[in-house]
Amino acid sequence: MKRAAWSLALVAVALLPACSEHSQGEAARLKKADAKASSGAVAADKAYVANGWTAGDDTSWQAQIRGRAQGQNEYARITSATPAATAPAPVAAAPAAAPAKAP
Amino acid sequence: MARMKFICDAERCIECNGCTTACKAEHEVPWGVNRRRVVTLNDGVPGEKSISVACMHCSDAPCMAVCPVDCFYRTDEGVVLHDKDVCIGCGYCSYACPFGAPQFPSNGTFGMRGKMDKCTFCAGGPEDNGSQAEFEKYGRNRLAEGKLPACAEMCSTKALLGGDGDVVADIFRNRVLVRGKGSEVWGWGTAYGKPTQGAPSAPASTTAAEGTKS
Repeated sequence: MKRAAWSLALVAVALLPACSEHSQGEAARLKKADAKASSGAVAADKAYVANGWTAGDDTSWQAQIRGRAQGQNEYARITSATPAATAPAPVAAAPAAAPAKAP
Repeated sequence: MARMKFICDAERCIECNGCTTACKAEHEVPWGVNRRRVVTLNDGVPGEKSISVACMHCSDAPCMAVCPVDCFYRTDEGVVLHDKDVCIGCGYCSYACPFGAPQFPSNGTFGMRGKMDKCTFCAGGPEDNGSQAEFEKYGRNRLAEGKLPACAEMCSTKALLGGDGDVVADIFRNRVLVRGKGSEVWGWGTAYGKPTQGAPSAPASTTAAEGTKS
C-alpha cells in the first residue's frame, strides 16, 4: 500500500511539468538577433545558392542582388543597349509623359 | 545599401496568380494562409485591373508601431520581419496593416488564431539563415542564397518587380516611358522623378535638378 502511494506520487511529480507554462521572463520576451542576408545560408545543401557572389562579402551580395534584379528588365535582356538608351525616343513623342505636379 | 521593395505594374498583371502559387510552393505555406494574393478591381468589366498584394515592407511600418510585444524588426535591407517566438497572435498588426498582409493560421482544438505569418521578402526570420528551423517557421531564405523573392522572379509578365528599390524603380520608370502613358498620374514626380531622370536622392537637390532638366 505504501509502495503504491509512493509510485503514485512519483507519477504525479513526473506529470507535473506538463502543467507548466513557457517561460515569460525577460529572455523569452526579447526577439532574437538576425544574421545579415549577405552572410549566406548555413544549410548543408548549397545547391540552391546562386553563383557569382561570396557569402560574407556584403559588396558582392549587393552586386549580385542588383544584377539579378536586372533579370526582370526585359529591355536590358532583349537588347544590348542600356534601358536608358531606349527611353528618350518615345518620351519625346509622348506629351502625356510630362511630369506630374509634385503633391 | 539596398532597400528591398516590391512594385506591381497593374498594366501588366494578368491575374494568373503565378506569384501566389510560387509563394505557396516555395515556403510550403499552410492551407488558409495567403502571404500574397492578386486583387482585381472591376472584375469582369472591360478594362479591369489586377495587382498583386503582399507585405510592402513599409519604411514606417504600422504593424511595428502597434505590436504590443515588439516582435517586429527591420533588416539592413529594409525588410520587415518578425519573431514568431515572441508573437502572441493578438492580431493588432492585421488591423494596422493597410494591405492586409498579416495572416493567421487557424489551428488548435478550438480553431485558435495562431502566430502571425506574412511575406518575408523571402528573407526568412531570426533563426540561422537557411536552417531547417527557419524554413519551418518562415519559409525559404532566398536572399541569403543570393536570389530575389520567388513571386517576382516567377512572374510571367514581369508585372511584379522585387529587389533593390532604386533598381526596380528604374525598371518601372523606363517601362512607363516606353509605354508612353502613366507618368502623368498624381505622385509620379515624387516617386520616380522626371521622365528623363531618376527620383532625386535628396530633397535639397530637387529644386536644382528641376531648373536644369526639361
